[in-house]
Amino acid sequence: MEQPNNVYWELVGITNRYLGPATERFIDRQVQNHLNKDSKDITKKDVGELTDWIRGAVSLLTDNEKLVEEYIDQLRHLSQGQRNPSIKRQ
Amino acid sequence: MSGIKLSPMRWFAILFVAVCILTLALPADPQTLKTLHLSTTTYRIIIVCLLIPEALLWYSVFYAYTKLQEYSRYLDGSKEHRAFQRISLGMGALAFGLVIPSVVSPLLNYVVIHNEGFRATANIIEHYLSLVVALISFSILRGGSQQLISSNRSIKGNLLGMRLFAIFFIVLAVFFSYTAIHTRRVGHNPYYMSLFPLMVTIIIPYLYAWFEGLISAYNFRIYSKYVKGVLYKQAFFLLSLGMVITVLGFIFVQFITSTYGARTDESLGFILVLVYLLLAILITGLGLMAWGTKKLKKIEEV
Repeated sequence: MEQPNNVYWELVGITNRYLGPATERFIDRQVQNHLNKDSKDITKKDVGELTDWIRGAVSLLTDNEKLVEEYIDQLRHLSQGQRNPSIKRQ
Repeated sequence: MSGIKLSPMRWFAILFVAVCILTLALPADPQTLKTLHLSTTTYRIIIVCLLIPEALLWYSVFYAYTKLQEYSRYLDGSKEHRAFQRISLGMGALAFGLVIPSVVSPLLNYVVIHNEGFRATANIIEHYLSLVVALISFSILRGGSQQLISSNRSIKGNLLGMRLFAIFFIVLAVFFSYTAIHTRRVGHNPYYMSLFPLMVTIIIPYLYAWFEGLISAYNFRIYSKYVKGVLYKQAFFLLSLGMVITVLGFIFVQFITSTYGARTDESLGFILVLVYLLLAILITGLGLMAWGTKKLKKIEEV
């Protein structure tokens, strides 16, 4: 069975801080709906493309714009290849 | 031929109409009127005054059940799915368990009016019905909450919390046991049982049911405290707070009705105020549960 790539796990690690147990379902849904591919095959470029969609989705869940921007910033760092040292792999 | 499946809210509507018809159409128990010093008209007015907030309570619990059911469907295939399935089942048991005694009670009273010798049996049936509801619903909720904790390896118990829980339960158990036995001794024995059957079939099972309920409330609290994810935590906090208030509220209602329900020395006004207060607490808890579940559901929809 093919293992998910590092980008997927880093994305999970970032998102887990905000969505907890719902993280993997959320990521799978976003990737399926907007990129039409398996979330385990996601690349850094895909993360960049998804950022605006994720911003829209998370904005529906909270009015805390600071929290949303904090999350999106981390996604941008990931898409640009800048690793967040505090993210632990699953 | 496919079976007809009714949604929880449709069941609420059917059962509520049934309760209204049975309560208002069947004659009032003359003994009850005599004990409370009420005319038939005043009695009916009081019944209607109680039916309205009770209907709100039943609506709230069925609504919370509906939301939990909808949310658990979104979790299909996930670690939390079975836990939330069980939690929604427990909520469903509580919802139906709340209304069904109100359907059965007028029927039992009707039999008592025509056969006074049936009064003790009717009273015992009502006690056991309330007990069975608590046993089934709280056991299922406890099982579901335990599965929820198990689905998340990062969540561990809290020793101080367990100690406080143990102290609270011991105080509740001692006070309930004393009050139930004392009421039997000095009152007119509202349980219609001797001491041993009272202890074995009422006191111990009630305490076990409340223990299960309190454990489930504690598990929800622990999961809410230690689960990861800021947004998920905010949504789950409402659900867990609502669950804690609801479980504690139901335990308190059952405690009051089991120990003080037969007393006639309290004024009717005081009893009505207490009933309204308890109903308000329960409706608040159920409202918070429904709100929290809706927020969790939204996380699965965006």
